[in-house]
Amino acid sequence: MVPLILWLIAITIVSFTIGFGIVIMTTGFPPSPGSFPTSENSVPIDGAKEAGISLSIGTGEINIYGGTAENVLIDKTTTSLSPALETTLVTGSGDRKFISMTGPEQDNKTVLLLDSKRLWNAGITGQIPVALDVRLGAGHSTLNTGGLNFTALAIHTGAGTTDLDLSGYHGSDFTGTITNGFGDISVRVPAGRNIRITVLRGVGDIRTDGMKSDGDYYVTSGYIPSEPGTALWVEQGVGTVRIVAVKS
Amino acid sequence: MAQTEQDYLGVLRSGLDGKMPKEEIDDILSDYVEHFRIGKAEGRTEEELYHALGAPEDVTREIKATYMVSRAEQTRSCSNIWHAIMATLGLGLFNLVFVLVPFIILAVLVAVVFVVGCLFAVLGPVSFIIALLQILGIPFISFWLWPVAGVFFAIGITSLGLLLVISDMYLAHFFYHLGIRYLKWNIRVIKGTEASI
Repeated sequence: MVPLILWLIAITIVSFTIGFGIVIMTTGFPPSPGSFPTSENSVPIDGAKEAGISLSIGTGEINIYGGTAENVLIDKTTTSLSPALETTLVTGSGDRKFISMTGPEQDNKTVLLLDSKRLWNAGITGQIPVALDVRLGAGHSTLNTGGLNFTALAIHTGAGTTDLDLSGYHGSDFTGTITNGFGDISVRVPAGRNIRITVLRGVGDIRTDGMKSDGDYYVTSGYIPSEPGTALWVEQGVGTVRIVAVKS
Repeated sequence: MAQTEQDYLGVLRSGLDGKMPKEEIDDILSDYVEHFRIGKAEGRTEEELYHALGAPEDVTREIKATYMVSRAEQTRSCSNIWHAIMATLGLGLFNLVFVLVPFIILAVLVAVVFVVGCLFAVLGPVSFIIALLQILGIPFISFWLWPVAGVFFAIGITSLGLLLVISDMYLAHFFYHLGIRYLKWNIRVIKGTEASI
């Protein structure tokens, strides 16, 4: 029995050594996100006049920006160890199109005991107005809205940070909500637009720069209530909320 | 009520009957008969000797525990060690903590190692086949991100599984041996405590 055990020990050690050696030679050590597989997923506009887009992953990072190729509604790149574990559902017809992109609730795959962060980079068209719904269980989400045109915006993050940059936004007015369980929220708004932000207080500081406050309402300096404007509701959860008005 | 030699021997016999072979019981009882005979020859009454030996119910439990542990030591089996533990539990309520809990922990440990080993030994070959299919470009399940590495990982997982299963046998033997020694020590301590009382 002892020689068998020694053989098994040797086979185990050699096999894992070679296996890890191949992985390290392929990805480097530690594995960099750039060495993880990527997959691209595009959905065309196909004559739609408006769209609803829902993006949802359990853990990871979502970066959203304005701008896609001609007639492309959304162009998403996934960087992950398991990019295949995602579904895209396109429904609607005619003028309206609805897209739902869903990643796994959890990324169970790890390389050399290091987490593989699922990264979504999604370009969204500014050619048609879009209602965007982003759901992230845990992680960081960034929205640079220059070049986008929203009809509605909703960002839900269980734990993590949310950065919403509306400073370059030139689309139509919209209504938006940002909900954070745990983590900081940063909102940058263009000082020259008619914007009102309502903060539903949780636990943590609220820091503003260039905004006028009235209780839990924060408005841009030239805010006129009677005129159309963008309304944002921010649910603080636990963490700091920063609202900055940026002069263009 | 008088407590006689026959009372004492009757309690012992009824307590041991069915738990051990008749010859063993007769052998043990003959020792007690001898004890009473010598005691009476020295002028002591049966009642005095009855009390000197300790409560027959306690003595019965001790004899049963000693016998069961000895049987488990001679013939290794799950059934024998289980009966030995149950007999030892009868020596005192505190043995629920000092005997039963450690036994359960060790048994669970052995079982977990075995299950994990079997799982690895089964998953290894399956993942090996999947890696080969991925290398050959046959769409199946995209299980391995690096199929070539997956082949080696699968071999490693298989041999690790077999290693765990084999090691578990040694682990079980070791714990068995350890358990017997512990039970013997436990009985010795209890007997010693009662003797000192």
